[in-house]
Amino acid sequence: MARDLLMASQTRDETRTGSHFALLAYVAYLLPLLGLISALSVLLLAGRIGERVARLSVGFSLAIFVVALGLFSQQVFLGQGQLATLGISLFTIHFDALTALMALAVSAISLVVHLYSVRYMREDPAHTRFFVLLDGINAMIMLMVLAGDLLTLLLAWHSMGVILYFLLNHDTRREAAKRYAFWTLITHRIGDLPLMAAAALLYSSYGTLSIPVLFEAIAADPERAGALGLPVSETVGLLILLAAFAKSAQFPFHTWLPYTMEGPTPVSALMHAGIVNAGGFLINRFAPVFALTDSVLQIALLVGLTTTLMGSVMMLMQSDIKRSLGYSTMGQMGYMVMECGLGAFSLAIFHLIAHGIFKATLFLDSGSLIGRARKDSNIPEGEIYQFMVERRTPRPPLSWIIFAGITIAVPLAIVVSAHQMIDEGFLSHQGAMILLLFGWITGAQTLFFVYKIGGDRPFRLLGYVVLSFALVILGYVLAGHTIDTLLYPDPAFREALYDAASLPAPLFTVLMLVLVATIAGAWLLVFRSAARREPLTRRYRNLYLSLYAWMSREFYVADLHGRLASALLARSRRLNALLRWV
Amino acid sequence: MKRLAAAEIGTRWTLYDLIDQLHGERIGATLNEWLIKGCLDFLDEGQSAWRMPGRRQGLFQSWCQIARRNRRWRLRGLDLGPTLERVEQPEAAIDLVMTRLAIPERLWMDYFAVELSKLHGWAGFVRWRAQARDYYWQERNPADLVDFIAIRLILSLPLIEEAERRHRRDFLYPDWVRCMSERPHECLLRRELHSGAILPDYAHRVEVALDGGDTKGIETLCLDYEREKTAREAASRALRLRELCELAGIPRAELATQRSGALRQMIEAVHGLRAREGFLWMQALERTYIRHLLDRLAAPRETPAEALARTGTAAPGIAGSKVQALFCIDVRSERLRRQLEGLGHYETFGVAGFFGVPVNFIELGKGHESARCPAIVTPRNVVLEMPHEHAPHGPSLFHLATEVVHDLKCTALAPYITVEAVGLLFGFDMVGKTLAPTLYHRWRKRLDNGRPPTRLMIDKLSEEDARDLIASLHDELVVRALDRQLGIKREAVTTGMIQELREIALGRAAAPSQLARRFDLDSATETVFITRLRLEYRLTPDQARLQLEQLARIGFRIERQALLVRNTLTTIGLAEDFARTILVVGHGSRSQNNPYESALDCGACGGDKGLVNARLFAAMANRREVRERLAGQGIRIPEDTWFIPALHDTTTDEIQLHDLDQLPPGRLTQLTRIQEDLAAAGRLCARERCAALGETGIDSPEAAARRVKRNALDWTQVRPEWGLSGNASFIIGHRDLTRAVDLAGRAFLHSYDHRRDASGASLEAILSGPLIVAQWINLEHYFSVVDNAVFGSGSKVYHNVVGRFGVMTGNVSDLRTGLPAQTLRQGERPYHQPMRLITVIEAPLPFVQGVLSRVFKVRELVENGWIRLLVIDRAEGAAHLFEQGTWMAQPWTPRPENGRSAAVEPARRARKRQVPVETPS
Repeated sequence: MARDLLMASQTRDETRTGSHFALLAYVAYLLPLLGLISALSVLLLAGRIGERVARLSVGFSLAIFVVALGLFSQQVFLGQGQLATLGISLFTIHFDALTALMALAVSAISLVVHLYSVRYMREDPAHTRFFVLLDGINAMIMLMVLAGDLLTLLLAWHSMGVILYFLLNHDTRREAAKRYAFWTLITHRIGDLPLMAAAALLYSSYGTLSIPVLFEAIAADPERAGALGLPVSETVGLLILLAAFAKSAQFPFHTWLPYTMEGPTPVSALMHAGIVNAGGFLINRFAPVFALTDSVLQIALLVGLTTTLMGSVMMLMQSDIKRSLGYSTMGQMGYMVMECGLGAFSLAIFHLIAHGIFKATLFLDSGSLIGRARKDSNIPEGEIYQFMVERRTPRPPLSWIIFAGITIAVPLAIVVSAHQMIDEGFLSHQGAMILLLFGWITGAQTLFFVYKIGGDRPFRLLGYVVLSFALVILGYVLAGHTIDTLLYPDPAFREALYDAASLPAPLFTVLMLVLVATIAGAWLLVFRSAARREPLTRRYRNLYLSLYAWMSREFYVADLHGRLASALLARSRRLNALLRWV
Repeated sequence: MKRLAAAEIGTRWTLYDLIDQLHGERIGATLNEWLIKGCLDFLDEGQSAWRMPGRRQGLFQSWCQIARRNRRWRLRGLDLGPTLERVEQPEAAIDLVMTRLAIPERLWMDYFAVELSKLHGWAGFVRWRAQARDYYWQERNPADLVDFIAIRLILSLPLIEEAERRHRRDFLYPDWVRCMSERPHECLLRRELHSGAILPDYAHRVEVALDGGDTKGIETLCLDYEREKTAREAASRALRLRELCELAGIPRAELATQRSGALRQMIEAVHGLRAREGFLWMQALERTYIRHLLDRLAAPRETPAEALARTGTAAPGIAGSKVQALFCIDVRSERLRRQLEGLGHYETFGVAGFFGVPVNFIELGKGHESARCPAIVTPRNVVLEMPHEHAPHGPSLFHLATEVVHDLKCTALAPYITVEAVGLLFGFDMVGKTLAPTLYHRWRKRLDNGRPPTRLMIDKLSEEDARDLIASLHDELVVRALDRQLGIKREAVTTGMIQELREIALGRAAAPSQLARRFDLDSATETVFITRLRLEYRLTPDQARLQLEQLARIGFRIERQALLVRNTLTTIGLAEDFARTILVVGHGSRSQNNPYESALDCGACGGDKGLVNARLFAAMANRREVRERLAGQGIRIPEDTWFIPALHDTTTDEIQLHDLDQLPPGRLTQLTRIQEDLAAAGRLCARERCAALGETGIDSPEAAARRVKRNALDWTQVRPEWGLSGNASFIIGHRDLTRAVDLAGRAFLHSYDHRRDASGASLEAILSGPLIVAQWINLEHYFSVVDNAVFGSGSKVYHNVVGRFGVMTGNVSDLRTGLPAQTLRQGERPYHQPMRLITVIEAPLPFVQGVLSRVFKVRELVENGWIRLLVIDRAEGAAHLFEQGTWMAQPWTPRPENGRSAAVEPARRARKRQVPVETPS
């Protein structure tokens, strides 16, 4: 029986490659290949041309970017996925819209990081190694994005973690660099395991490693039970999620990410723009599997939401720029996973690209913070200045209740109507509601900012802000919708994803009511305390102190991990001594 | 092999150091990490949005508050609670811990010193803050070293106790002393094992023996091990000698013929030299530099007057168009001064970059005072920057948008949609700044409104003027309040009504007012309005008094202005022969993405740009009243002489003139030429600079100017300029001594004329001010380059800006001190040669000795070898170097102006005769 299936899938594989033969997918081989060639030539030529290898490496990344751009534009016209093989079951390439988009984004960021490193990494003691590894990791990201079979995916998935380890450990003389790079390595290794298990399970159940073939097979026969009688799609979905969680720093596998700052700045930029978001890509890659599940995506929602909240709270508490950016990334990755958990898969891709550019810029510019602090040092203005130069007059009386009302109502209206305008069906999904909540909060925060700075004519300023907020939201919804139709052109499939992510209706209604009430209430509280100039932290001082102590220690997660590790080490040492193993 | 000595406990090692070294723990690292966390939270100056609560109570108290609630230690089975409950004050905490650890009191100070040196960056910052006057964050969140040590000790206690439990041993002070005397072999083996220095073939045996705990066996093993290790060390030392001989070209056979005693001596000598080797090399460097410098200073060269005579352009009109320029003593001024003088008709002077005007400056847009003077001076006067017009200079829309996005980023739930909505826009920055920094910068600048033109409030106000000023400010408030609260426009009220309302609010007149009668306001409305004026517009008697007090601090009295100007001018020997235009050139630098940018600014202006002081000095020197007073003291500045402030951008060598709106119109015509000259000199400097930076593909001064401009705007540039790297000497003397000598931007140049300084007061001032600062700078570079990992701040690529005030390396580290590798090293080699500051004073030796005896601080520096002092007397043709307690005459004969043949000296000369002259008293 199993043999028959295997044979069947193999023949299907052959016909598929035969019929879908296309040049495009073969050109895509250039993406990882050019990276590897670049790494190799940097390595070989470094002795001869010295630091000019950096320019060589930039040249190759430019070529990769151009190829990626060309492939992307072709793909937009073609609109169909293609498969390229070398005749062996390894190193097949599956090229579709998702791949094209990711390859374009990654190659663009990598090009900027390369250009940046030419001067930034000048005269570094390990200059050559840096560029070799940088090119290497780019090749691996490309390979992961392009992978058409599970083995290639696994290989790329695994090598990314390993190369990252060496990049983070760039300063080999620092003890701390080794220690924290190891945190990364071990977490990524943990993340390899579920992916490996998923590959094994899929192969044992469907007898093929080719990703598109597998998806077809699963779609054709979703109810099949795998090894140990586990339902295949649910189990694979869960395993994929676990792998994504480790790579994308989801709670409780997040500790490695904020502590990756031992690497040079460009590595951080590339990592936060092109490596941590691999989880989001993986989940999207397996979207056909998730579409068939009904209780897995909820886990992504829960974990993502937890990570989001933890990440942003800890980001707010960091006193150093890089780790604060690290926690911010953690939160953003949580949001990305949460979007997947809501069924908004394509939005997660949009998020990871926008966030990648945003975060890479912040990292590359992180040194300018001192310059900014010198310009604006956070020190209150002196008495003389206030009455001689500033001559500020008290703002006109403003009712905080009216303002709070506007703050709460207007953004909600804008966000809802923007979505209604662009994509009518969107609001009927449960997931959309949660995303709307975030949009609403963001809008309210913007208006609260206006309330705080006041100014002479707050309502005029308010008008400007509301207008620009509306424009920005409209643009954003439009962009999201475009990506949605690009990646998942089939509306039925999009529906399937949303359905897979849905919660029982009564539960959801109650949840929404509670959330809306909490958020609106919280805003009223914030406005009231701002109006009365009585910070909430003073009112609930004891609670606040405890909360601070708890959060400032990063929820003790790293401590727990450390405890676990030292216990393990102590046990194994005792075992060693007991058994007299050298 | 050195054994552990009990005397080192507490003086070199802390107790947990010993546990780490002998039992393979990492208590020190954990402790550092926890303490850094505490420092980060407390010292933060605005990086985190959610700040540590209760910081106003001081470091120790606020830390305790959080620590009591911290479960982290419980997780490890530690409990800080009982300890914290028992102490209220940091002193008590220190006492408690030290007693608990049973450390004898005589060792306490040493023990604290060892503890402080563990994180010298953080400890240094806390210590600096504690003594910094008017440092806002210290005033708000006080911290000092006692707090710091107390926290460190409290944290160390449970860690030590935990280790005691784990290893089932006692680790208190007496236990260690006993351990070292009773079980020296075990201690030694343990240290070897855990330090990783153990001979690999012994590692396993040692570990087993130590686990077994058999004293006898350990002793035998240890003796065996020691013997083996000594043998191997001896072999490697002998190898070193052999290598040296090979390098020196001594055949091996010759070595072999030596007696073994002699060989042994040689081996030991070579080994022993290693500790002193660095010092030897440094002395050699210094000597070479001094020799070279003396040669250069002695070599004949053309004075500008001669140059003019030679080229035949010495037209009579030229003399009148001479321009004088005051520069900072900074080494980077040297290049520009040389190039500028090379163009002709420029005469330059060097003086500390604050031009002798220490000031607390309140900048427009900042609003708080910042000291613009060297760190050793405390300014007494405040100067306020006022915009020309009080139009509300609202921020641009772009600025507002940036603020909104920043605000959204700093919240718990809003960053996500924000990133999705505007994240892609950051791509402009990312691509623009990387691909075309100059172009992108120009475009971005257009989005900003820029700074309005300003004037500085320099003069002291009389009390009457101050009252007038405050009254008119108050009237302005009343007018606005009328408009806003009652809807009454200015045209409807008279000045008298406004003044009356102000007086009522200040309690100097009584209601009802004319205004109330005129507009039929009932008394309730009026009272409400007056109360509003008092409460919201702060129009109260107290407030008025406070404002008057504050105003009294602003400005300099005319007498003081005259004094400051006179001091500066006489110090540099500019007391006559004034040119019609005198430039006062401060300096500052421009770089992007550079946490070390202030290291490139002016050290004499509190690490800020020097323009403010230049503007102040020029404004003072331009005042008629000041000049009148100066004339009374014998310094006659002609009426048509104008001082013009300017800023020298040390990254691009561009010079920008300022305050031109205050010049008489007739003078403006001259300016264009001066500006062109400055630009030309700047381009020549840029070419020199590009060569020093190792920039390739530069073929013309113009190309160089473009390249340095790019360096200033490029966010990927880790070395926008060399800064003060390479500084080696400090030359105090007349510019004639150094004119036309290419000092390669390595010399601080202070103008000084001993013939005008009979009392030595000016020299005294130079030595105790600028020299001290230059010596700090020199040592900062020195230590940063000799041990970049410890005293310097390592590579910039790992830097992580912390708390908006400092830099860490990577995730968590000591606060980095000193300068980064990129500033000091070029590739593998140091760009900055580590040398002590070679100070040259041009004056007779006895005169210098006399002055030196009065300046205690500098005398100490010289006598203890932190500064090399070289005294040159041109009249006598003699040079003396202070070396090992005596003044050694250096062979130095300034050649006559036409003795051209001697100019080309062979670089290496026969050993010089050195004659000790006399020891200083």
